[in-house]
Amino acid sequence: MKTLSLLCLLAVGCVDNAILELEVDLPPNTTDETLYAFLQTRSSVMSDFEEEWATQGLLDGFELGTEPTTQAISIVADPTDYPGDALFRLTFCGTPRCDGIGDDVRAQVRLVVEHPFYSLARTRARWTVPTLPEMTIETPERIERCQVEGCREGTTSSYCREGDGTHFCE
Amino acid sequence: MNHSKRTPLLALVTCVAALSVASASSAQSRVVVPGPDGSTSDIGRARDQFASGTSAAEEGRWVDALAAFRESYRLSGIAAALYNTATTYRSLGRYLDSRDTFDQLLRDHPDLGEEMAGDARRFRAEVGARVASLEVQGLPEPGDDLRLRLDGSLVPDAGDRPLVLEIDPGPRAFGVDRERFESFLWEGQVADGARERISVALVPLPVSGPRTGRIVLFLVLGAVLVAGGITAALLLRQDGLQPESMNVLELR
Repeated sequence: MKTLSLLCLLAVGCVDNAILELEVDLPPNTTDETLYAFLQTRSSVMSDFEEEWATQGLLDGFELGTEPTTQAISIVADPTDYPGDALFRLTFCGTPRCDGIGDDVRAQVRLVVEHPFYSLARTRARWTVPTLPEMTIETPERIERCQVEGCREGTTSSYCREGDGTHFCE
Repeated sequence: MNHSKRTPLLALVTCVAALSVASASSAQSRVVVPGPDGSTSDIGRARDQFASGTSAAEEGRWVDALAAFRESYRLSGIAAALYNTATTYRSLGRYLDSRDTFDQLLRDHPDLGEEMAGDARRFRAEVGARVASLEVQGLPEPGDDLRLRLDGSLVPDAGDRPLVLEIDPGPRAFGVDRERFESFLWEGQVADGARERISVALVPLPVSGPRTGRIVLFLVLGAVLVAGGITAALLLRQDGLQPESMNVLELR
């Protein structure tokens, strides 16, 4: 993979990227108002949950239905993000961009996906939010590095090698 | 070769008498003759060389004898020295040289005595019959890149085809060198008076293109590699990771 990455970097214009295919199980809307599940992501290399995340250029929130739904999101990273974790905020807002009045204090859940990015590798993770939170849960859920799927066929309980503990995408 | 064959040499006494009346010769043949102004000291040295050659011949030292008789003839030009040169060539098995020297003797010394002339003609016929020849077929036209060798020595090529070379009998080697062809070499034993036929077939060397050809080849290979690299890069780019979902977030 490293060789392939190097070759790719040598070729002008070739994009060295990595993608985390994240599936989010969204809860049903149990309120009377329209709610949107607004997802933001940052790399732990560049940010953390303590600071404000800008909302420009992000994905519109997914409108919650009366039944649980699942949304698939492709998280595209560049090489500077590879060493870090992916941080997610899922805020349940009244507007698609979570920029309406009172959206800044809406309930939020958080997720950390440990080291999901490897050069030119596609990884997968699933985040289930079963119910609408009543308030922001500051402690993030965590998907450990070896639970990040990728670079290995078949069913397994771990995507790290038995011997040295390295991920199959490494 | 028959190195032991003895040919009667002219006696020293004959030589001394002859040397006392040595005369110049205008012959332009194989054995060098003195100029018309041969000095008395030359005649004396010629007499000494003749005596030395006779002694060497009697002892079977044919190479020494040959050198002495040739030198004696070069200094004096007397027929006796040339006669002994021819007979020494014969004893050495150098029939070709012997024949030519007898021819020179008979041509340049018409005043030979009847007995010496008779002996010369008889020996000339004998050695002439033993001269062998190589008939070389299949030679390319003469050129600067064509070199013919007989027993390792270059052979002048006047362009006669087939090329016929007179040779002494015995083990002989004939080679042909030509640029961009493998060397040709024939080796064989040639009998007295035989006419050996050789068919030359030059085999071209594997083509190693000229320098410019190699440069062009390297350029073409380089271009192919670069094109392959670009194609691979494009394929990688096209087949690179693309989001599976319509919902795409770029990590920031």
